[in-house]
Amino acid sequence: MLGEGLYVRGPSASTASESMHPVQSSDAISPPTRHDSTTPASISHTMYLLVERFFNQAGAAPGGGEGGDWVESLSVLPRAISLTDPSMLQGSQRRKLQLERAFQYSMRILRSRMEAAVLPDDTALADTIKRRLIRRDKSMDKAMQFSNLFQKLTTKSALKNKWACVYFLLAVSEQANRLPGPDQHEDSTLFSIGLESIPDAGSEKSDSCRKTTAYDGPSDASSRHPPPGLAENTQYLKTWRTDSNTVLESEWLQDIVYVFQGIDGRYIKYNDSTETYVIDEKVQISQPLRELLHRLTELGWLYRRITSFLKFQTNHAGIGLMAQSFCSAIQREMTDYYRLIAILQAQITPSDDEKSASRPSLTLKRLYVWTQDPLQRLRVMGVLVDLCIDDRGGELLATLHDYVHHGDPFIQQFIHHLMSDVCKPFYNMLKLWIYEGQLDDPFDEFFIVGHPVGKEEDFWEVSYSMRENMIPSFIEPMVAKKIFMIGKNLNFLRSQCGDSEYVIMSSQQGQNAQGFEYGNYHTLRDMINKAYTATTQKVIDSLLTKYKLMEHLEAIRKYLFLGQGDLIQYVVDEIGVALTKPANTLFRHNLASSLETGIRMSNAQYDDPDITSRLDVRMLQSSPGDIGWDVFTLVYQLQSPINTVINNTAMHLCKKISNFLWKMKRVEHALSSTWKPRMRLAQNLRHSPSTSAICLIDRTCKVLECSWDELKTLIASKPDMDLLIRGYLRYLNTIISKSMLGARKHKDEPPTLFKIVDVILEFREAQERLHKYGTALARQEQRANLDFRERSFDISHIHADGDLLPEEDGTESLENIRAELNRGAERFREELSNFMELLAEHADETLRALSVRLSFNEHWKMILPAIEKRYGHTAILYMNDVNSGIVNMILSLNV
Amino acid sequence: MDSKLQEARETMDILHEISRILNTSLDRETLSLCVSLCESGVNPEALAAVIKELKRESRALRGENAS
Repeated sequence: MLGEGLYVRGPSASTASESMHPVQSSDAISPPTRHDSTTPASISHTMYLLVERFFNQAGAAPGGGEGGDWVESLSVLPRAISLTDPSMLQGSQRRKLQLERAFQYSMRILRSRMEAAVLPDDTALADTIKRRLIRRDKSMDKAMQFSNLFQKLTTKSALKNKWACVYFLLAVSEQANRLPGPDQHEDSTLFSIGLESIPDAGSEKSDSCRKTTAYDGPSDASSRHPPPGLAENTQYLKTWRTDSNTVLESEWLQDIVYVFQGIDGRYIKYNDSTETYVIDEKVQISQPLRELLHRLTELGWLYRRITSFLKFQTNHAGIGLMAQSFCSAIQREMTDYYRLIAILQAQITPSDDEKSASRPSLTLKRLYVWTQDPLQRLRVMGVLVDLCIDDRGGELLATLHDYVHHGDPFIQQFIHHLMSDVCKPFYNMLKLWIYEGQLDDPFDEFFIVGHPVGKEEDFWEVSYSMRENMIPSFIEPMVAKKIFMIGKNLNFLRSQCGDSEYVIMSSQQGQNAQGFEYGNYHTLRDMINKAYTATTQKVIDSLLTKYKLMEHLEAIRKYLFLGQGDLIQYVVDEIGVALTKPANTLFRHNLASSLETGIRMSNAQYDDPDITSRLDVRMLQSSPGDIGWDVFTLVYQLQSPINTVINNTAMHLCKKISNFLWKMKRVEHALSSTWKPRMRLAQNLRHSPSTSAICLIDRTCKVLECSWDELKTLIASKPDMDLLIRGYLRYLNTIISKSMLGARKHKDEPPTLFKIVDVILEFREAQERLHKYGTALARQEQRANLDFRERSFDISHIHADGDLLPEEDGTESLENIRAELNRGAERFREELSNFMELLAEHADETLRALSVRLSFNEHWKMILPAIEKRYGHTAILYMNDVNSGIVNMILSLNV
Repeated sequence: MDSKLQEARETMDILHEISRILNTSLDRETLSLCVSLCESGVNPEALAAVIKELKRESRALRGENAS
């Protein structure tokens, strides 16, 4: 066969191409069964023929003939060569060399692309071609024609690789469509720049490539050594890649998976000083790959951070239950992460039988996409870990809770999930506290702290306190306060009221309580409100009924605030005289017995003996010169739990009020006792201070009644303990401020009212002396009358005859007494004007009104200058004058 | 044998016709060489690239000869 001859012909047998005929050469596609056409040798041979053919066409068509007359040009070429023109012969030698190069170049192109870029699919290919034809010609004709031809082709069995052939045609056709003008690419052609310019980095670098270049002809190649086949080429490509400093993707993958676990890889290592992952500098990688690797190492970086935190926390003793549960929640999240790493590891090292190409292998990019979700989770954890490293207990919860409001639903959900775990110990503590009033807080994490209590009455104030910074932010301050109160109420009931049954009952309720989990806040709040109301109710009820709080308050008012008039009057009458004696001559038991008698004599005997027995007499620490009045005081003894409400502060205030009232009582007593003898002397000496004092006592009683009413309403409204205690203190403070106890010009001075009272007492003293003097004088007069009946009594006479004065105490003289009285009057005037000033300026409206009442017709303003003017007149006249003013005032007050 | 030859020829005719429709500007013999290469498992795309190069070469050579 002629076709066979074509295959064996070497490059030198160019003349044989003369015999080539299109029809004959079509035999070249004879079935492969006959020819071993699949061998590389046959490929290179056919290739050689192809190249030669193109060269012949070009050489034979100097005029630049069209592709259409190639058939004729073929026959022209051999003849031209056979002319044996030396120049032509030389040209043919050169051409032969060119042909050789072109052939090798073509072979390299063939080798470079081992597989088709698209999957072989006949129908899809036919469709593509049809579409292209329609687009090109804007008509269906060619497309129909092609469709018919393709149909016919499929019926033929001569071709076993129809797709390749048709695809080849399509590819060439596309080239023809896009083929640029010849001059445009002139310089890039093979021979104008020579073979060296072809980018053939491989030929310099690898031996296998050099082999291919040494291979100079199909016949030669087949005889010397087997031409490089497909497999060999693949091998070559591989060695070319590993020879350079690049690293295979699979190696990167392994490295990255190591990095994910916090272990250093072969090329990627952790740098402790900069706290970053660095890629080995010796490795050359492209910028995108470097970027990708850096992004992936973030996961490893976060992993290191989180695990170091966990390690730190577990080694750190006493981190607290909440921090522990936080760690365990993080640990649990990390197990998910470990699972991911295990899967990745399995992916990159498949077992041998699984190595089939059907499985999609892992790439760095794919890995990047897969790790996005875990990355975000780790990022959140990383942030939390950084934030929470110093926090403990409630603070930790507060910090975490802030992130629940994150805008990203993913993070929000993640934190929520985390929180439900972290909050468990907190809710356990809370439950225990609310239902049993117990604190189970070994690491000081709860927002309530217990303190040891010294004295029983301090229990309520001291036993527990709140730590504001430990309140988790999801619990509002009001609710936290209520929680605090609930537990305190329970403890109060148990330890102070001895009512442990209620507490036990409450703890049984708590067994199946709802709402003690994170995210169920509304239920919790309702729960707390309910428990709060219940326990508060219980405490107040227990105080009011079992411990008779109201009765005790009443008793304090009655006895300490002198509400029980008959008893007080009796006591004052009974011991009033004794009290004027020096303090150190008095004995408590004497006073106490007279108090007891007083109780028996007065209406107080109908009171509960439990209450009256609590009333007692106390002697204050006496200093020299004090008389009984100064040290005498009444006390009311209280026991737990009542003394929680009426605590020490309140008791102190009570004493203050009681003392004041006693002082008032004393002045009143003194004045009236002074008055009585005066009445005998027909000298109405009841003067201004006494009225003013009486007035004030009156006033104080009014204040007492008003405040008492307020207090009663408060208690009726069932407040909680804190409100009750504060309410009582407010009650006492109102009494003090309204009864002017606190009114003073300067802080250091005793209250003005006290000073007035003191002045009054001094004045009374002076009066007493005057009275004594007067009586002595009268006695003298009587005696004198016996001797000098005709001499009349004249006050000026007394003045003149100082030596006639009684000599009982030697120093007493009328002048002295007068001076003292005047001084007393002066001081009284001063203090009173101070007092009036204070009253007028006082913040309380009712007290300003009092100043108007006291000086209704401006009597004091008038009378005071008058006193000034009459300074030097006889004391008695002055007294009378003042007295008339007072009568006026009393009248005005009574109106 | 004859029938096989006949079929091969017909196939070649069809392919040539397709080639013509697609404006590949390949003559029948070149086409037959290419087809035999395709048949022996050469990547058609690579072959198309070779053809492109060769076409360019031949055009360059022709230009050379003309000058």
